[in-house]
Amino acid sequence: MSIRARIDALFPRLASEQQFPTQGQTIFVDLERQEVRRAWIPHRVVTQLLGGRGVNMFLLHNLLDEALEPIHPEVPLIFGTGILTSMVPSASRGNVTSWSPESRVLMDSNAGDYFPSFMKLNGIDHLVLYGKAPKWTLLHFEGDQPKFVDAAPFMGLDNIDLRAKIANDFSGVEGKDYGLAAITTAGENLVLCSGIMAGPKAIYARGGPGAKMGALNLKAVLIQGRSADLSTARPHKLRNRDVAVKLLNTSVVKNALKKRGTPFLYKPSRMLGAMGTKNNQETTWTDKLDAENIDPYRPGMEGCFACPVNCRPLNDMSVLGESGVGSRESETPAVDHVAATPDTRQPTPIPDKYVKGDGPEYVTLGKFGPNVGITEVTQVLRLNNICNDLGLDTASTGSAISWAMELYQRGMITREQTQIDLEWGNYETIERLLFMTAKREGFGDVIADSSQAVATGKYPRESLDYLMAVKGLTQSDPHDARILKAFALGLAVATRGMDHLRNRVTLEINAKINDSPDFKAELYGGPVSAEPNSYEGKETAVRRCENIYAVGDSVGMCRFTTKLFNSPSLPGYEEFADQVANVTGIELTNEAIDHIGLNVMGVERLINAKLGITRADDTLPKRWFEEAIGVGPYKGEKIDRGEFDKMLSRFYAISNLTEEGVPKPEWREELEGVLTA
Amino acid sequence: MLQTESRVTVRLPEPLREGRGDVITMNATSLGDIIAELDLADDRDELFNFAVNGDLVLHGEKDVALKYGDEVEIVVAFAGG
Ligand code: SF4
Repeated sequence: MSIRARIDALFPRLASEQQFPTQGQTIFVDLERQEVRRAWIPHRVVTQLLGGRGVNMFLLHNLLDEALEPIHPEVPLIFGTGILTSMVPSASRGNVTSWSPESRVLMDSNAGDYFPSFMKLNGIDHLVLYGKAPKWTLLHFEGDQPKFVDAAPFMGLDNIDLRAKIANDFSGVEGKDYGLAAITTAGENLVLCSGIMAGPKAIYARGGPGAKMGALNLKAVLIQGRSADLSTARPHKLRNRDVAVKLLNTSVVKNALKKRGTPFLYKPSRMLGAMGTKNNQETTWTDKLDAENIDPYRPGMEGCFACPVNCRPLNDMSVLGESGVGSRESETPAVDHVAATPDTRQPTPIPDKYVKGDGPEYVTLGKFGPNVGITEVTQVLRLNNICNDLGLDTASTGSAISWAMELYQRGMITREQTQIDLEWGNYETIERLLFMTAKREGFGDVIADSSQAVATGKYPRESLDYLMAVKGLTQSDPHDARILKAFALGLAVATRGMDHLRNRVTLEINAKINDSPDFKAELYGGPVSAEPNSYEGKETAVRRCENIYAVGDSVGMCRFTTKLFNSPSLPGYEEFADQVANVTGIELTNEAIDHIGLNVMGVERLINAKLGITRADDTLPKRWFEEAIGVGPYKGEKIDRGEFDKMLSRFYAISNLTEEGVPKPEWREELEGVLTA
Repeated sequence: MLQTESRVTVRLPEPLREGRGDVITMNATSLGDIIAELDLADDRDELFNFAVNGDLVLHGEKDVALKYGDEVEIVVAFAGG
């Protein structure tokens, strides 16, 4: 059935008018025919899946034709904004959903900055994009009215220049006047590790959204104005004040997130002996990359739309003149990009536009530090700035490079094939490779295939033994989870692949919580072993985290500020339920809202099942079962296959899933009722 | 004599320094002594973890025994990013 026929079939089941105050439309845009249809998500779907990620799943489940290929333009690309996005502090987020061309399972990626908020501010809750535009297009919404603009003047531009040109051509300031989601040359070239940039750094990163958007011939979506009537069902600002106070009084926000951002995690991971190093062959690395060593290069912090936390560190290497681009004159970069000097391990001394930027996050620090053998802060900062400009997902790109480096180390690929020296820590190669990847040039074409490089015939089959991926998606963060069994289970069962942001029980590293069994049991809804490397009860903690994070994504709350991710004291169900009631008038109990989290996972598992995913895919990279950690307090630790399998079965049992990992028949029927009634 | 035998150095993160500098020495035979001395007990929201001689401690914190010359570091163990 074609996408148009699927939409025709879906339409009678959608609502023809707004269902609650502040609800935005779901807009279906046929890029090929330049046609637009509008509807509203029915109340009964909202009460089961809320909005954002949850409702995106409803739409994908209805519109996905698994007989196609993920990159096919009739597989839709769906942007969604949370039900509270832009209206509650730190609810600045939204998701983009499709079938991933990178992993070939569910694609679902979250971003902040401004784009999701500008969707909501203009009355657009979901944007379903499909069909290949006859020529490269910029979709320009003035309010909720789209225009199909010829994107020719913007083609070939990467993030920095593209955003500057759009600000100039559309006379506005991003974040104040408009939100922009755009692809770079990497997306134009269908690079599988490319994302959709939602700001200078914010990126819908995981699963190849950049390639998916590129396949539609869609360069950018620009949403300009603040046209929606966002009058709430009941006053909500007073409660917003409580939420903001709660956020800002949480120790981790005060002491870490607001001051240095996520690079803080590098040090504890390193000290635990759990810092993924050289494609996880090793697990500890230099203290030179500890967050405090980035301090001298941090001129300030940035934040997403109306978020009081401002957790995103900026970087400016020109201040110390030792940036690798070392000049105070770099305020106005003399040149666009100067390649690293080939015969040293140092970047060029000539200033260019990568002397400053936004970031890094811990993920980038790990993936472009230890994982590829880099030890210098300035080199990591520069690679971070280049990835932001090229629109490359640092998790997937860093993982693809470290995979290649290990294959090179093992002689499974040779210099003859690569034409470049892939030795660990070779900064010059890594920098060059990023540009080659964005253009699919030389060996960059192999990196651009990310985890699919075996399927596309570029690596031998045995290479898969060294791919640090689950369900085709490489690990999102650098933490080696052989020690913390809850982390390991989360990575195995995450519906989008090996990703920590779906269900990580991050508080497993908090000794005070581990040493308070009653408090811990209350937090997760059941007993969970105090010992991080034990398998006991870890399924309970993962289940609770998966539910609350799915709810967070559906209301639009940032993961960093959602209860359980960074602290037990951050806003959670209580605040979400109160503000959903105040904003929309929809009353939900804490139990009901928790069940919504479960529903979102259930629908995601139904989608993955259609794509052929089974229990066998809820697993971990071979290395973690077979090779033990070699350093630190947990030396000798690895994943025991038998114990892991039992933990997985327990996880399925408490998740209302069959032994194959899909919703049990009764619940499945219930979910299908919501999805197809 | 006992006092000298239990002398350890403690490296403090910025939020806990309170004018004390970044490294202090104290008498402690277990991490529990340091927790009591710095008044860190029972605040589960504070994500401060201990590392003893470079190894991070994830549970059983109060009972971790210390000996003369041990180097303890308190790390802001920001959880996820
Ligand atoms: S906490 Fe940070 S990433 Fe999250 S919404 Fe706020 S500024 Fe954005």
